[in-house]
Amino acid sequence: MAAPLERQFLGDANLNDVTTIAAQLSKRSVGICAESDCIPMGRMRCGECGVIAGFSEQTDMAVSRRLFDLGFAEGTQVQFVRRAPLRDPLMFRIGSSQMLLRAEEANRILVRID
Amino acid sequence: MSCHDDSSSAATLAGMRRIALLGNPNAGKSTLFNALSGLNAKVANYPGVTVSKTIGSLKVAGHNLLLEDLPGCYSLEAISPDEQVVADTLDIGSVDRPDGLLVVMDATSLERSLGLLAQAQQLGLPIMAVLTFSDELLRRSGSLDPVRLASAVGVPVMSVTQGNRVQLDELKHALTKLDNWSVPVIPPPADDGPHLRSWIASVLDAAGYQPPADDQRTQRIDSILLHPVVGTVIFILTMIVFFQVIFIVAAPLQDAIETFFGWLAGLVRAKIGIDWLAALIADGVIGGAGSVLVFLPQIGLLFAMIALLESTGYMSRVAFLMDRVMGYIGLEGRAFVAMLSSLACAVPGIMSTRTLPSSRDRIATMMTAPLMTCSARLPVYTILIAMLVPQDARVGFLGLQGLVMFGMYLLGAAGTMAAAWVFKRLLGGKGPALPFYMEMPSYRLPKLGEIVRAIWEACAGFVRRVGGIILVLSMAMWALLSLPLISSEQMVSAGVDVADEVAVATYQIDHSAAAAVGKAVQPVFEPLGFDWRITVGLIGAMGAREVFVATLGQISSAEDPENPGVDLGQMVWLSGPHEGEPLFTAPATVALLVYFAFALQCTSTIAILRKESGSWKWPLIAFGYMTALAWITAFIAKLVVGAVIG
Amino acid sequence: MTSVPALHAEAVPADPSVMRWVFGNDLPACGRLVDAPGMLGKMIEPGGLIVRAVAERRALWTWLAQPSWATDGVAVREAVYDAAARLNDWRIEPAPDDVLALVAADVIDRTLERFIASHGGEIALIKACHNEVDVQLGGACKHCPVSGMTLHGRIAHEIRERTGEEICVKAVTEGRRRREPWRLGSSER
Repeated sequence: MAAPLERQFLGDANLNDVTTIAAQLSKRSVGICAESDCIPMGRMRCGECGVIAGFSEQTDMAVSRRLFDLGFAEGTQVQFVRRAPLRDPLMFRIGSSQMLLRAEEANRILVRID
Repeated sequence: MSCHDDSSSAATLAGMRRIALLGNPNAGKSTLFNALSGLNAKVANYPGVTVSKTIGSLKVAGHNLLLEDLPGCYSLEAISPDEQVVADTLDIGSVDRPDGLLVVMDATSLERSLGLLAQAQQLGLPIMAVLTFSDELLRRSGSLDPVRLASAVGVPVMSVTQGNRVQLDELKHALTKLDNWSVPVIPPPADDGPHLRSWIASVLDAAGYQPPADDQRTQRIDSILLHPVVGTVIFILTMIVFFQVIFIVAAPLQDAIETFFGWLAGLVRAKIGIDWLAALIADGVIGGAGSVLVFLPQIGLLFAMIALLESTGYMSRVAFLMDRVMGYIGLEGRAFVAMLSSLACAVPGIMSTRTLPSSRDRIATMMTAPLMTCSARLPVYTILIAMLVPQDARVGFLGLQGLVMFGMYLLGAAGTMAAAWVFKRLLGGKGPALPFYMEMPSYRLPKLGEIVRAIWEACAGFVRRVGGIILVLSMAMWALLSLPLISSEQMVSAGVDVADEVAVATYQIDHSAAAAVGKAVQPVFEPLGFDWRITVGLIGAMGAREVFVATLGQISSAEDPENPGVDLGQMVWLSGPHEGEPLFTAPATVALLVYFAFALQCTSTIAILRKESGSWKWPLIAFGYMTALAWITAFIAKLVVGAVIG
Repeated sequence: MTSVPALHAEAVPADPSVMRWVFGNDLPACGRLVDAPGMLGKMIEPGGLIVRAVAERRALWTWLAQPSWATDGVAVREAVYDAAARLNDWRIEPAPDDVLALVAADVIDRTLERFIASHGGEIALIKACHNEVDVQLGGACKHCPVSGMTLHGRIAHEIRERTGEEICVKAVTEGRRRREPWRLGSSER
């Protein structure tokens, strides 16, 4: 267990308020992929595995940042497990969990097929 | 410690440290919260929003701690009202800013949970990390050393498995030692995507993390339950079972309860000499209590099935299968689950809209869930359908009565879907829609204790909420129908034969307070074919639908005490242009059925709408639009049926 | 885009002015860090924020003049992460004795501390140079039959893992304990 550290109140350096943190988070770059050998994740075939290469460029990257926070990050293994009987939503295995995304969101993520 | 006081909450001033639980949805946070705080959690609303706030307390080693179960979130960059509430609570200026943060991490999805931990470490609050589902991690051939993880992330880490008392007690003691929790000297690089991934990879490596293998059991089950053909068939069968439970399994139990209460009422009437007291107890109290308790088998069974589907993880699969359909009306798969729950009672259905991240979805579902056919409507439907359709009428080999009942269910569902579509359109517009995403958890074998507890809480809550109201209303209706007392002299002078019990009772009712109200309101319902007695029933039913049957029973039994409540079909108009004609004609009966299908007649629903939406605006809108909808559709139904028949 | 290797920071409980950056890959060499790309290079210049930087095989130790991580920590973190993307441009001067003293003390006083204490033992670092480490056994270790295994086995193994050198660990009966060799400016007393 880490040794107890004194709470430090030097200036406001450690006591970041959430507004600042959220603002910093909204400026994150989560990795745009511009390469041509990648396909949108929603176009994978059932059972296919791939590695995430990045996100497509959008004017509003908020959804892409959310996908990043869900675990869809560059360099992660992803598998397209199945799609719903009515074609949407799609089920992916990402890391060690399973996530549902609609095709529209899934296609923001670009993967390189194994 | 002067710089500490600025963010002291009132609780701290009172000596109680406040600890908040932060974590992903599905991380086992709420289970842990329940285990820590016992059964004394209070659920309220965050002001002004449709998000519920759960606060509990914990007493350990002489310390009193306040625990808050923050809504599940994936990031401090909020995109839903739930996450905004988390961000607001943790903000420096917040009165509710906790003294310590318990970050709950699912050991089987650690890469993701560490991202949230990294963000939380930017706050400068003392943090302790709790690992849940370590047993699941081991079962799936993964591994992790919590001690090495603690060194790597710079905060203490404890593993807590469901059912393990030793670990839970250790955690409780650790909660009292807030000063031993650490504020990391350098927070991790949460504000840079690639740097964060690098941090996570390094921390996991240092902790000796072996990721869990795929959950074979879940894969195998899903390959059947989510198979495009087989899975859909199984889903439809599950829905059918849902319905059948109401009729086949619950019915005998309900009959037994009804018989018992009927016997009890008869006993009271026979034994108690004072007429009005006997009537009050028999009709008001026993009748009222009976009409609540007769629901219990149905409600209990429906809650049991919902709890089972929920805790095994099948409900997420239901949301997966139904998402596209719900998408057509602008909602998502989880809204279907909320509507399904409304088949038992709209209240738990409305409460389960908490799982919808989008506040617009939440409102649209909350406002339209009461249109689903809930258990309270069934006794009304049963009586009305019995008057409308002969018992042995058949279509092919299916009973017509059953078909009409099924039709009423379809009517409710169709109304819900259409109304939800309308609400979503009206509410929508501002800002981008929330992206849809949902985690699909592994299948679990639920513990018997947790199912029993879920059913018990649901039933007890139902009886508490509904029972009180129905009892009060039943007694009030009884009083209104029996007062003001008319003496024999007054009746004689009015020309009533006091030797005729039926005539006396009829006269009493006809000049009671309830009658005055009913006759005053009758013009509103006359176009639908309802007289003042039905109107009185509807007014009573505004509090709870079940009261309608009891009220009409009281009215008609007074008129024919030999056949109490049975021959409503014999009732005729007492005055006006239709005097002497049957009251429950086909058009009027259908109009009544449709009215009950769409009207909001439940104070519990109004109360829960107020609670979950955070204001009176929404329940008032619900009451208004549903009453109008009920009246208009009932009128149309009456016209159509009248035209078809005559 | 060059990718950043796995990297995280661990505080050293015994000394708040030092931070240990743990890498997932091998650093180019063991020794004193004299030059690095970007902000890190500026920080390790004389008069810069970082007064001393020593690399072991998979970790970098950085000392600040004061334990001012609260104010300067984030800047140092950014610098290290950015420089980590270009490990090939790091210039490290070999300083085997410094590294050995640092790593030996860390292994004995931190990594294996709980293991040793749980057996009721005490091990004090006396000397570390020229690929030789002298320790003094105390407590239960003094008469422990497997103390030799601990010395040659675990301690040597750990040190070898972290420096890449073959070293020899010896128990000595006298000599004053070398204290906190990671403290600035300390030399054998």
